[in-house]
Amino acid sequence: MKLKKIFMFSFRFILVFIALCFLVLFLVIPLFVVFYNAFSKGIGMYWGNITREETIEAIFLTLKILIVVLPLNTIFGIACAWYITKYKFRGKKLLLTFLDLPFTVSPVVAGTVFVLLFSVNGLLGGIVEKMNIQIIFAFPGMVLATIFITFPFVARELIPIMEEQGQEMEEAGRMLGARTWQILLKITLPNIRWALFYGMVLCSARCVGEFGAVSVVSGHIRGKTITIPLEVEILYNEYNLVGAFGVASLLCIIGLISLIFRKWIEKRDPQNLYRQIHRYGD
Amino acid sequence: MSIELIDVSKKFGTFVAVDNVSFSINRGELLALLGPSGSGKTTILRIIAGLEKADTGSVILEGRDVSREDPRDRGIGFVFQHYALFRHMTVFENVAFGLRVKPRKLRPSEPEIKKRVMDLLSLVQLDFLAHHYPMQLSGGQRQRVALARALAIQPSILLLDEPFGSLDARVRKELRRWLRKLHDEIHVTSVFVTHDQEEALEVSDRVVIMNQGKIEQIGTPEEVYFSPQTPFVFQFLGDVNLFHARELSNGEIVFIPDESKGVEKKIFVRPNQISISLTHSRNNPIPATIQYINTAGPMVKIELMDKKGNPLLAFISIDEYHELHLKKNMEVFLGVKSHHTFENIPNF
Ligand SMILES: Nc1ncnc2c1ncn2[C@@H]1O[C@H](COP(=O)(O)OP(=O)(O)OP(=O)(O)O)[C@@H](O)[C@H]1O
Ligand SMILES: [Mg+2]
Repeated sequence: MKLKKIFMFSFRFILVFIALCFLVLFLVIPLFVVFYNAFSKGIGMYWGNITREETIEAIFLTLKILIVVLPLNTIFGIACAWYITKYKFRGKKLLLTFLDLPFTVSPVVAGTVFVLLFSVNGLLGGIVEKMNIQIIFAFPGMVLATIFITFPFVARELIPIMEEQGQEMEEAGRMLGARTWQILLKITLPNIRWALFYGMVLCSARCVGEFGAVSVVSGHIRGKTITIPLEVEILYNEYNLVGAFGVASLLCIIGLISLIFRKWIEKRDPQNLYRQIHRYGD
Repeated sequence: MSIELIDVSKKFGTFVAVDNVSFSINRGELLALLGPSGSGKTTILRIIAGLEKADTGSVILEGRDVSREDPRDRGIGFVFQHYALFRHMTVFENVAFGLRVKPRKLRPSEPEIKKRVMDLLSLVQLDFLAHHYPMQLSGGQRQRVALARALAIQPSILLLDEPFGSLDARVRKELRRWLRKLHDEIHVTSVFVTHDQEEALEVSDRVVIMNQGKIEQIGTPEEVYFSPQTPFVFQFLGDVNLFHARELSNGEIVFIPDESKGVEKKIFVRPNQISISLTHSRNNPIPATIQYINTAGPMVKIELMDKKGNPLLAFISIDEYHELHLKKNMEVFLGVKSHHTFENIPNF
């Protein structure tokens, strides 16, 4: 009896120990290394690094991509979640599987596909050339690649909560004479607003941090197609470690901010709170 | 507005939820749709509302076929089984919703909306809760908010799906009398779904009794209660005793049958139509043993068993119970004061 207790205790201890080791090894140490190196030549140097012209340009380009991608993917996510949860149709499973494609396909592959698609000899290359717009190795291509990588985030957040809520409220709205857009604006959106907001935070975080696909379609043109993660790579390849870590620290800060947002949303969201109370209450 | 359903059927996959149903509801009538769980009541209500499309048949409102019309244009107020209140809106905003979403030309002004909503809230006696959220209300209060919300658009038809379904027995009784009174005041054509026969018989002008997607009987509460057309209706509207008796050639019914005489006849008897006597007589020929006595309630409920081991149920008055000095395991003799028989009842 006593032996069993000791065994149970040590078992639990080992589990916690393993978890802690992982946490330290893969999260705390890397984070520490980033900031340690970034500040290794002093605060002045750090400030200089993150306010260099190239860095500022990279930040602006990243924000520009975000400003285009976030609204598009938000609208897409809402439409997609609405369609999947409010209607019955064939191929729903298939659509859900497609929604996971960006998670399962390597970003580099995705980037390469875009390059092949829009290059001069590609499937859509002819059309693009006629219209005289540059897509690959330019801003539009980077936007396309980022959209592809981040499109599931909003929808994935919304689908479970919309499924759980069912359609009764929407049906009640319809019986009261509301048009579809009124139902969307006055009933559906207010009820999913925190999940939507959280989905947008995740989408933004990924959008800012995306490397693989964007790297392939960008062509690495200095001063033109360099985003924050690409800038980190360039500085690293030039053996400017302090600079690289300085810029990388910006990405870390963005990541940490999204985490804080997440906690804040969880606190604010009354439905989430309700779910938690019920989960732990009974 | 009158409602007419003609040959309405609805399948879910291969399952027939509503099977060729036709009936009509007069203007200003309060009609109850009564039936056991899964008999298709909600589906019929949703078809009338337009939330569900019938596979065949048509729905006609005031002479106009609306089968292809959008639910918004039918002028129907719908009270959902689980309220379906907008949980992100206050009680006031819930009730105001139907007015606020009207096209600008038809939309009342803000002071008008306020007045109408508050009038409705005082009608359902909830004006003091106007600024609460649905989560902060009790079940009965939510139910009344749902009703006020449906009434706000001044519907010409009101559909209520088990409006008192999830309330306790006392609140239920209170609310259904209140609904009857409300209906007598505003006279809107109403259909309400219930699986509680007492509720249906007490509140409605007419009752439609459903079973497995089909209509068993339509009639006033008195008609369906006193002249049920099928064994199902008889059984569904109250407790029943079934006797396998025999009918003699002179029309007389014998309960302790001699197998060689007459034809077999199934006799249905309500528990309050059974008399109990301590001695055998022409009027009390059926011997039975008392199994259980329950005196709590307006009538004394007595469970018995006949000689073949069939369970029987009798309701007698408390006075009679005291007079007879009935006790458990006592041998008594039962008589039938009145009974029901049905022609051709294949599967009963
Ligand atoms: N959307 C649906 N998909 C599949 N089957 C359904 C659907 N809606 C209803 N049904 C089936 O149709 C039958 C009738 O359902 P309905 O909801 O009309 O019953 P009801 O009489 O309202 O029952 P209750 O008293 O339990 O509410 C049920 O057997 C149900 O399983
Ligand atoms: Mg139902």
